[in-house]
Amino acid sequence: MMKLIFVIVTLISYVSVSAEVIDSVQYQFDYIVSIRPYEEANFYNKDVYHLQIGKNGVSKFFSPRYERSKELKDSILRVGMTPDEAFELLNKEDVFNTTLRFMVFKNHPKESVITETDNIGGEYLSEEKMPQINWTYEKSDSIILGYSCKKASTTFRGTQWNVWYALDIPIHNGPWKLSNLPGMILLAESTDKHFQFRCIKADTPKQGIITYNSKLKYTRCSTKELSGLRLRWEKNQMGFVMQVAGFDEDIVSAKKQSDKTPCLLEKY
Amino acid sequence: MMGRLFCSVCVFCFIITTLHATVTGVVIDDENMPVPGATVILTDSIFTPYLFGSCKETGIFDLNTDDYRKSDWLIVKCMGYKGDTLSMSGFSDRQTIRLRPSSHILKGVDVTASAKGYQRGDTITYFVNSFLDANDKSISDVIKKMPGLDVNKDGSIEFNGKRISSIYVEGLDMMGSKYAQISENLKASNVKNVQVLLDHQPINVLSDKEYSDKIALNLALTEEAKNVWQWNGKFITGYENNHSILYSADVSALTFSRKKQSLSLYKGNNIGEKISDGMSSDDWFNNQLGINSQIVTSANFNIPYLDDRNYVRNNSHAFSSNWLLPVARNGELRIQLGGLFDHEKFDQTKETVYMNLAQPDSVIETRSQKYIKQMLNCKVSYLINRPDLYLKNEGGLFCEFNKTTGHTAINDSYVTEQVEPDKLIVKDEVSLIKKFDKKIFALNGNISYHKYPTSMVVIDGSLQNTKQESLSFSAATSLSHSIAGFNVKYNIGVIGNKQKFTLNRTDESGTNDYFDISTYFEPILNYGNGSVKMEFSCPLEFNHQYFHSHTTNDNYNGIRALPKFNVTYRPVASIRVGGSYNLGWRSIYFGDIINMLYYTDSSTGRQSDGKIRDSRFHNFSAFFQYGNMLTGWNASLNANYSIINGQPIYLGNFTDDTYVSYVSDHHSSTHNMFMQSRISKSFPFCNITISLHGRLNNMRSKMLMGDMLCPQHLTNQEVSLRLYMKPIRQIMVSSESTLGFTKQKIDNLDMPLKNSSNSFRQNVEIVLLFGKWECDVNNNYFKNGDEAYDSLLFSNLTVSYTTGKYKFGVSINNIWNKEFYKRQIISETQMMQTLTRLRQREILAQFSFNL
Repeated sequence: MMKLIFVIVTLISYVSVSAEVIDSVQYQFDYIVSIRPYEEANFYNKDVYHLQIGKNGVSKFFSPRYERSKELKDSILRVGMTPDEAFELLNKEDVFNTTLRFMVFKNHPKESVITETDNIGGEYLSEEKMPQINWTYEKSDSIILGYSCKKASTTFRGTQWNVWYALDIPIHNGPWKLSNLPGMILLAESTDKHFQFRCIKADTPKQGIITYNSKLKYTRCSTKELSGLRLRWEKNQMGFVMQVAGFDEDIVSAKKQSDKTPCLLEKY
Repeated sequence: MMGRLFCSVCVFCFIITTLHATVTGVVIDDENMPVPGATVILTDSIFTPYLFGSCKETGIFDLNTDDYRKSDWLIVKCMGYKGDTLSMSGFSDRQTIRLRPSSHILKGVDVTASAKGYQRGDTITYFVNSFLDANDKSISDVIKKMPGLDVNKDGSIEFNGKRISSIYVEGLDMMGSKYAQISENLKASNVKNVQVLLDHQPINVLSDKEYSDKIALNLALTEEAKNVWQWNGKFITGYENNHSILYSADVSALTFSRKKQSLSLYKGNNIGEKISDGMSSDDWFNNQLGINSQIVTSANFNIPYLDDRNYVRNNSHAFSSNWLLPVARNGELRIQLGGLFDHEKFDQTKETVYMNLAQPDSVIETRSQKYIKQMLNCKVSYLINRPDLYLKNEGGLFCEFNKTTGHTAINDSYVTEQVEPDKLIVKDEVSLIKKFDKKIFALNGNISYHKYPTSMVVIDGSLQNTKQESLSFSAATSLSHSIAGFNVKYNIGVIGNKQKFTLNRTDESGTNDYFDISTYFEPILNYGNGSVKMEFSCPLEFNHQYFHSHTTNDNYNGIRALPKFNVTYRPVASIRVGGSYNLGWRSIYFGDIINMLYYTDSSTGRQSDGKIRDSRFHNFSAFFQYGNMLTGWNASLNANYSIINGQPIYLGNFTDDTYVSYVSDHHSSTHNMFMQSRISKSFPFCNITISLHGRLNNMRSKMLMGDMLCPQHLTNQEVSLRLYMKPIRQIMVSSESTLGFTKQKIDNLDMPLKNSSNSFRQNVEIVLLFGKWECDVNNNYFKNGDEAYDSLLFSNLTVSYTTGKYKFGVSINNIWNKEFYKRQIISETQMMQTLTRLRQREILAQFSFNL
């Protein structure tokens, strides 16, 4: 236990110097993210995500649990523990049970640019211009977290979305890549019920920073390529890892492909 | 041909050019600085956006719309500023819009969402699914399980001891004050969330401007329940031990959509179920009859604690139809119709000891009464409730024809009773509130006419005919504006009431007239921020009252200052504390002035002296509320202390089997303290919710016993424990145990009197579910502390089978075939023992559906 405390103290000091501060937090919204892993599944992968919105317009949508686990894992390795020791130690702390690892930055590294990162056997990063989402304003309304919300719908990259946004929170942002409505999106769900982002808390933190781990070695790719990688990862994780590691095509293809249909947020 | 084509192209281009427009303007703050980033939204008439944009660094915005006609509203919002809504009909191009700074802090979910609900600011949201059980029929059954909410016997709902003012369905108020019909007929599974709106200001123009301590509920429906007609039906038939055939039919149709909301129902039965909830004149006029209340009513009957169906013998039919229709420019038209034919029969023996006689005397009455009530009412209201305009005109007609006949034995002398008190009420109310930039202008007026003709046979066999008429009117205008964060309102108005009471009896006849008019000027100071809301007002009132009869004239002229103060403080989301004080003049109850002897039932009379009395009161109240969804704790305490000075004391006289109270020259100050508390806790283990309720009423006043003025002290205490438990999906147990205690002490120097009574009642309901089978056992146990009172166990059993939307069942009521219910009651001037005859054992077969 003492060893763990030492490690954590060491890594906290490390994390604070490794992460780049890109904005200070003005508003924070917490969402429960529910994603069906594959169409045949009768369960959802769930995690609480934070959407931090900065004073200079930068926003970050991320799983604090995954971010913490990643920082701990990296730091433990740096302070000299073997992977097995680190794994055993961190497993006790339940920081590995993260199934949702994607992260979305808006207006970073520059205005009107979306940066998305994901861990699918390795760290991948894609950048693209802020996509123009054509919303249809609906007449339905609802009350979410006590805010009166209006409904809007759209089809974005192969997924039909219904969202509820609060006119009383005039921030044109939302979970994941969804944005560009006259109010904050507090609930978004796909019509096929595969994906849902439900806001459970809205807050104005007195202090807080938005960080970006610029030291991490990302493999850069386009958004379309990232979607293709995710599909391959979900269909055959072991084969995907072996292929990335440079194993022969024959050995890779010998690994059994899943006959399930992965649910992807973006379909090209 | 070419000419026609050219013309068509020109017309098309003209239309396109005309419809296409750019809406431009500039948004600035209080210091004339631009507000960059402010969101500007164009919406249609129901505030659905269709275009939005942001202000540039200079505060300028321009929105290019392809169809200008779609624009009804322009909404400007920005974090850190209070939003503004402008009508596009009055919007001029390049208009300057000024936003006032406000807190940029998001009123976040101070209490994070739990499995059962959450609280944000003044809104508490309960998830219906977390409270829904298989045996719950209407949303009322679910509401009574939610922490802090109670459903009363008459269908009214209270939150932490305070009655809610209205129920909205999807934000629309279809029912007004007679909301019991919605809560008792809307299927529980059709409701997604129940929201409690605290400090609710129903008038949009006054939102954040005027203090309101009203509480309302909003029912958010499931998607499946919107835009469809829901049909519900329930049919019961059976027989009672005395071989009478029983029936009950209940059909309702409801729809909730953007285009209309509607609830229509018919109910009829002879199984003792009260179906008049939401139909009384108090329900129709929102308990505002006040000084226009009926003086002579039907003969009284002391209602036992039992459920109506256990003692009421009836033949009742009721219909109600309510429609809410949207009309042009954000208007709503509400039409409500209702009718009732109610024939009821009661058997009760009552022994009354009158305390305010020279020597307390005992009267034994045995009453067997038949009561017929026929009622017809309608109400039409037109409402515009926009952020810049509030307009309401509501007119109503209420007719009631009653007849009570019966046989009463009073101390062994038999009387045939007959009372026919009728009611006719016509009322219209207009309200206009308009926002002009920073000022709000209001105009209110109402007029109502009440007519209550009554005929009654009194104990000596003579016929008493009375006619009570009253005309009430009020008109007020107000102007409000903001100064340094305070909202200041100046109210000027006039309020008047004219009453006439005509009596015609063999031994006495005549007419009494009363007129009361007040002109007032009332400055009101309002302040509110995120956690504090307060209001102070001090109306200055010139009052003129006049009384006239053939023997007496009296009048009163005076100026009154009546300060009022209210404050609510919410340090954190889970805690609310508040208090209020007001000084007032007690509204004159016309029955307290009439200087003729009139009978209120066949053997009870009353006579005053025609003098107008100056009776003022001080009222202090305080409350504390705590609710935390995460921990499951909920607690509230309401306390009220009032002092009423200058109340006339009545002297009782019992002769020839008639009790008459006469006004005396003595006055009393009544000190009344009322405290109500409740504390509840939910446990995840076995889904247990336990709540403890306490109620204390302590009154000190004086009464006349003969010619002796005696202080009296009356205390009522009640403690009840409620338990709800659902250990597994198949078993639900709910119980309520109540212990009541009443104590009266009269300090008569010759013969000090002490009366006391205590009672215990318990209701236990067990529901067992076996697949599609449901078994519901309901036990009621009653016991008065005195040995003279037998305990009573009253049991009902229902077994039912549900298949899809249909349900079949069999019930047995009053399994042990109990015949009588005995109860002791102590009031200010009387001590009573009542014995009520119960319905006999009955077996019922039932069929119900929900389509």
